[in-house]
Amino acid sequence: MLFNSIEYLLFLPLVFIIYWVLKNNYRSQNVLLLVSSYIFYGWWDWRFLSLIIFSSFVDYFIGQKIYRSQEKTVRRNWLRLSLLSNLGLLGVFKYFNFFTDSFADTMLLLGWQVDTVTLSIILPVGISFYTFQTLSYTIDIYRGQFKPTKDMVSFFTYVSFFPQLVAGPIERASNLLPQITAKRTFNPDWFKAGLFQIFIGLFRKVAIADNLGTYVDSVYGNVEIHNSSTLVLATVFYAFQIYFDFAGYSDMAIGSAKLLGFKFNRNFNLPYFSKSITEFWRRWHMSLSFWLRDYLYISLGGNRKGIILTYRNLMLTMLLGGLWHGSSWNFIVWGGIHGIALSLEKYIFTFKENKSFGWIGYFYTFIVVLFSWIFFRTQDIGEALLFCKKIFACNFMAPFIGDINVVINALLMLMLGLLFDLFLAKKDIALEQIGLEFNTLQLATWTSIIILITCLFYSTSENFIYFQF
Amino acid sequence: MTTMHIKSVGKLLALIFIISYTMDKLIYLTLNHIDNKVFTGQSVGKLNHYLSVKDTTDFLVFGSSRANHHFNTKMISNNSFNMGVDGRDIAYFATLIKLLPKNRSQFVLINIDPENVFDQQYDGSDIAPLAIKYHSLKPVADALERAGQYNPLQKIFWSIDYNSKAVGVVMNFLRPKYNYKNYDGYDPLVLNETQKQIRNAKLKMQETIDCPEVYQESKLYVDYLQEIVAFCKKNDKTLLAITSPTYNNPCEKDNTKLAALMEAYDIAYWDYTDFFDDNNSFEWWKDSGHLSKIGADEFTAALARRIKGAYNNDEAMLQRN
Repeated sequence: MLFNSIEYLLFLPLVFIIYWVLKNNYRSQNVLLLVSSYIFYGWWDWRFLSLIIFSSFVDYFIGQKIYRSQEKTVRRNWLRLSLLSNLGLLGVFKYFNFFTDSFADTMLLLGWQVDTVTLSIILPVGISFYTFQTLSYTIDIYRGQFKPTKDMVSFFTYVSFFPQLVAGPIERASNLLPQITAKRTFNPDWFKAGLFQIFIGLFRKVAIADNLGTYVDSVYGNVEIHNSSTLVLATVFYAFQIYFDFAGYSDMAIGSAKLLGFKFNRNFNLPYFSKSITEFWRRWHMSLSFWLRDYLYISLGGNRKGIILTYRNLMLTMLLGGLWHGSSWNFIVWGGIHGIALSLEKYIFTFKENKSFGWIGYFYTFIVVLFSWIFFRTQDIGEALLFCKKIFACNFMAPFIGDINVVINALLMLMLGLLFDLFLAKKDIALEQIGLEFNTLQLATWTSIIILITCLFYSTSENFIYFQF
Repeated sequence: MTTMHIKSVGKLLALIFIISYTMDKLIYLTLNHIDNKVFTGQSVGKLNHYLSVKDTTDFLVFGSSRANHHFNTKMISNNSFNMGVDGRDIAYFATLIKLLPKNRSQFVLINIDPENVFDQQYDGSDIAPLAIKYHSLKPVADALERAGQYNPLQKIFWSIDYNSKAVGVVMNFLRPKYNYKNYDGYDPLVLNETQKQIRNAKLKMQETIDCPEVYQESKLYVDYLQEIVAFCKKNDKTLLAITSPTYNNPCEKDNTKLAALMEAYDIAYWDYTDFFDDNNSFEWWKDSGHLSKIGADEFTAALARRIKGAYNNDEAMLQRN
């Protein structure tokens, strides 16, 4: 079920009403959340519910075992089993064909023809997200930072909670599980803020991202025929498309959770207002970047093992972070570009006292991010290289416009979206809080305006970009 | 959740509904008022133009961009209109044809292409641009609902009728692109030198297509076709279906199958796919699917002669001013 669908428009209020009718019994509320989350997921393909249930069961069981075990070796073995089962599922469903194909290609380069097995696999929606959630649970217990819950329903609800099930934010057990295992009380401020955030998210997704996407798709679908200016324009549009698409999704997720009395962490904080790539990763897809920092970078040794290993750890984290997005060399290159930029900045900042590039940092950051998006958006390395070659041919003639109405709508919506972000930056206020700035009449008026702009300018798109990851 | 909470939630939701509903109607009425004065632009203006002339026009052409660019209707009848629009197909023009007056003799030419008739994926979504008339033309609303090509929220928020078109409507209202009174719907494709070079390069590349062994007509497409036939028979319309020329025709079997299908449904059908085969100069073309102005005029001249020869009884209608 998509957040921007009629089904969700009916689903959410229905869950909301029943949920708060059950206000005196949080266990019943959890059962409702679990059932509704499975319906939400099963709406897409009920067969893959078995994977979530399996993953939940394995980590529920292993979490208990790790906690109860006194011996370090036993605890480690249970953790290994958790990693193996979670990453094993991810490997089979997401990376099997990529690795076998890459292996065959490498062998071919060495002169050996290898017949590989290619599986016809559908990638289960959200598998990368809930796998990281369940992993964080067992790792935190292993590290002694978190106590496992004995309440199976609560744990299963944590793994499958519908607002964050298919595309995050990746909520850690330490933040979400205590909220699930405790009584929730209705907070009218959270309702106001959540409702407003849902509509802002909807506007960002269907009015901004999807309008930009129409132009982006038409250009990226025919790279060979476009000039440099068109390709640059399409990449700028894509940079904002993916931001508003994913930030919009996160807004709807966070807002939906708030209506039910749950507080998620922020996932985006005006990332294009960053003055360095380091800062960018503190503002972009924060739940993933912090996850990678805490469970991968630090596990690899972080910056505690000398400067060379720090750079290695940074590069490895970003390369694997890239691979997390999908089984393609493009994502690895994308992660590599960010890894190189982060390493360079780490090196440069060791000599700079204020650890900043100043205002020029805005341009530098945007250009690096923009360049990396080319690899993120193109279908394969060949297409990405062709794209770069055509841009650097410097054929800056008038850009392709196509349907003028599409471009005008996209620009108009982008302008509104950026103005709103500028307003948030200037006011230094989080989007999560903005709904609380208004009284009831003001909130209703602003929400109505957003609804009507969305009605006039929404564009249709099959999916959220991050569903594919 | 206390009673006070329920009241505050209810108040907020009720206010949102009342304000958005009221503002929506104001926006819709304003845009509708503007829209009714817009007669330029392919998406909205041409549709309004058609609606304003459909009751008094003798010869009408319907179809996609191939109809739009291939039929210089003035060469066939002085009182004509070409309602071919880029990206539209039978769901769109069947709905428009059914808006024609009931008691006037008119000639209806539809351009149909075999690949569309035998496209099993055809879902009638080309009718969606008519959503702009959802609240102003009942037959259009019925057709959209039947095709499932409308947004259920449109019943509450009328401004969805103008979704993605509002800016275009306002721009064409403020600055019309052309004098619509001199426009008959035909948009000739005149190529500059660069376009000619691109065209030549593209046409030199031989496209290879795997032709299916079996062609099965789309049920939805045939349903619309039958509706057009029934409407035309009942309302004094002369219906002619044409497949206009294409640069190459790698799959000929679908043309034969389409001809048989048309005969079965008792529809006059002329296949001009290979019209230029004996002298297939690049000059006739804009690309492999679209004729240039020179090609369109050459093709329409031949078509006009044949129509006038075949439809003697309608000669008066074709010449009526």
